[in-house]
Amino acid sequence: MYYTDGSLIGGEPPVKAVDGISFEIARGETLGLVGESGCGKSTLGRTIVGLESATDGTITVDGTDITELSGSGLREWQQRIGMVFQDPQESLNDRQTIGETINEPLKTHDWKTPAEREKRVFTLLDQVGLREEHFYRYPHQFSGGQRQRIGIARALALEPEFLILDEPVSALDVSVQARVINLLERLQDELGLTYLFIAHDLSVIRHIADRVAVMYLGNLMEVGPTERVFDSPANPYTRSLLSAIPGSSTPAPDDLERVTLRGTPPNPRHPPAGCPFATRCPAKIKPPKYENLSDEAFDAIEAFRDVLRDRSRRETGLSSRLKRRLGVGGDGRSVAVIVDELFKTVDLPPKAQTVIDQAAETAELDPDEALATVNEEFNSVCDRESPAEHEVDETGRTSRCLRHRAEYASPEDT
Amino acid sequence: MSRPAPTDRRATRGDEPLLSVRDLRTVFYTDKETIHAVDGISFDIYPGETVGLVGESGSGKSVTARSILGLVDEPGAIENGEIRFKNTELVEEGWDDRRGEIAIIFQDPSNALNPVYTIGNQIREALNIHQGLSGAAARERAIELLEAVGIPDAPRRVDEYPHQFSGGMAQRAVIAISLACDPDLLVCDEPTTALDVTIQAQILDLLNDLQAEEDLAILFITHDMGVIEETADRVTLSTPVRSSRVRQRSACSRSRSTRTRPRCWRVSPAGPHQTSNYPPSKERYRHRTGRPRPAGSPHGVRWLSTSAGRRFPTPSRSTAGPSTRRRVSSPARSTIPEVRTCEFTHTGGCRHRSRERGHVTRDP
Repeated sequence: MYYTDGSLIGGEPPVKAVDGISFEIARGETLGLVGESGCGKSTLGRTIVGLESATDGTITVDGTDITELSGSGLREWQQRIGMVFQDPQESLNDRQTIGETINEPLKTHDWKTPAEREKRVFTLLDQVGLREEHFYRYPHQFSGGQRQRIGIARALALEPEFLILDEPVSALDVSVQARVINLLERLQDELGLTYLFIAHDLSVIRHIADRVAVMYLGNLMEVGPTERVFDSPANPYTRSLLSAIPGSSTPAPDDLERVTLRGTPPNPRHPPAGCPFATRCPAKIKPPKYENLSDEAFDAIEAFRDVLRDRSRRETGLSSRLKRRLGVGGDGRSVAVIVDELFKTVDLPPKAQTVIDQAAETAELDPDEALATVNEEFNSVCDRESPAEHEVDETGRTSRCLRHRAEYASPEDT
Repeated sequence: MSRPAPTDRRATRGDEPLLSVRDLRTVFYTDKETIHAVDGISFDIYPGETVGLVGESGSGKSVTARSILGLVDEPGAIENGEIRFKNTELVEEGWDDRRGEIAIIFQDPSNALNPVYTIGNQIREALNIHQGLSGAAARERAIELLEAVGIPDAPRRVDEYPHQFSGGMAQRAVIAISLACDPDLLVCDEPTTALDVTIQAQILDLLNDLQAEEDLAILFITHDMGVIEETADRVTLSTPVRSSRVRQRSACSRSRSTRTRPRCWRVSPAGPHQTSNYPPSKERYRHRTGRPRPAGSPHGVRWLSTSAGRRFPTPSRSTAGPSTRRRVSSPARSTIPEVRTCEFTHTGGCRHRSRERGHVTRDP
């Protein structure tokens, strides 16, 4: 699923929101989808419902590719699938009563007669734990938890088999979360629903999901049964994510060492060429000629590369570029200062030192060239090759990391 | 999972609290009703320690923070109580003499920053007001501050606008602004709630480091018990209903194992952890009904209608009219529980905890 900026001439590379992922959901199961904000979780959900159209690839349900559907076929599919949105505040129409809101999908799809529709709405209210009199009320008269129940009732209106739950409890207080989750579990049992549960809260996922998919920058890093993924995470990203949850009652294994990741996920317009996680990975494979480099030195080099990457991507106006070329107004010392700061406590081999110094000199005028120099010198296999899916264990759990290859130490050992 | 466990630093710091709040009541008057947002809370913060303030949304946590900084606007007012900071009574004498010594970080960094000024400009503004720095010196100091909060490439970043910063970066910038006035007390109002868990870990690490370097006292407000466990020396629980009162204070290491109040039990295990191993049982506590509104005149236990530890007959809010409710007599309904000390560092305010949980309580 790519987003282009729609300009006629030139234009930027497209935003690769979801970038070539494959997974399956069995009937009646809950697949949890986790990841940081902006990693493409919601786009994936919206593409499945048909709110976005996929650039490439297939989504097959009972043998039909739903990305090909249009017109009445699409409408039919949309009756079989429901969606619950994150923000119960935004997703309800202020000017419609709850009855009208829940009735809306029934009306749109011309479901039976008006009288039967109204009966259906009352049944739905009862199913999600609301009362009859709520039919005539407006959204502002409800609390956050109740509004989310309304959203769930609306999603269930057309008796779907499959629900996409896009962060359904993120906006709620913890104690209210528990009740909405209980409701979702009960409904799944009663109605035999299949869930795609999107969340960034790992504790929620652990509680509700049968299998979990961990997403990073439009890619699925690890997919497997919930227990296995949480008890012995195989991918470096899953490990970092789990270890970052604060407190002692976290869903992460007790012996997991805390890793605080550097920086933020890269811009999906310019994803890394190799492994999507390569820019922040704590277990990144060192280039062969620097195999014996200390971890601190390697981290410092990676941090320096982040700075250069950031500089070369910066969209700068014509005037500031001109000023830089002419050598006026620029902050001439800044890169040198950064280099001093980063490398003051680490020992670099002479060759590496030369390259860093050279890059520091050119960075001010031509960050692109500086970046290219550093990239070439410290080119790791993680920067070049995109890892393939690797089957981790007999449960069919897969993980994408080059460290699963026999010649490298596995992610658990690093 | 090892960020160094917080210790009770109070013992080593002498007995003089940096900030002392006593019986604080902040009330909002509207045409329709009077809202008791903060209703008689008391707590101390000692130099260099972190005190956590926990509670659900609407429990009055943020109003407490704003009251401490003197930021409560019309139609709200601090009705009663004292806020003593370094021997200055702020409610009476006003905040003017102490400006800059207490700083605040808000939840949403994108709202806290002005989109039409550069980050550097906003830090310089604080430096100018509080330290009288201007020109190149202010710029230099702004860069230093950005570096101190872990922003890479600070000399360049200082000239950028808030929209060019990611959420975590923007929150770092807000922390840099709050440090610009060189405060002794930092009030963090849900500083990581809007952030992803990996970025949250970075910010928590940063606050820990800054506290060690600058010897800051921190009032950390959050609804996440996990965050509190990692950051706070002591915890104060704000009751999530009707009005906020301090419900339980305890040394943080204790807060999960020896909870004295039903409400406190419920707040943390209500979280969807499957592996919760909380006393008294593995069952999760749940709300029976929603939260009462903080309006009206306060009588009795505020969280009564939602208390899981309650034994007294209370008709549900939806079916019973006011007269029915008045007829039901419950000791918890008619009186306000006192705050009592139980064990050493642990205070709680619930009337039947000793019976229910077998806790030994002592009068102070």
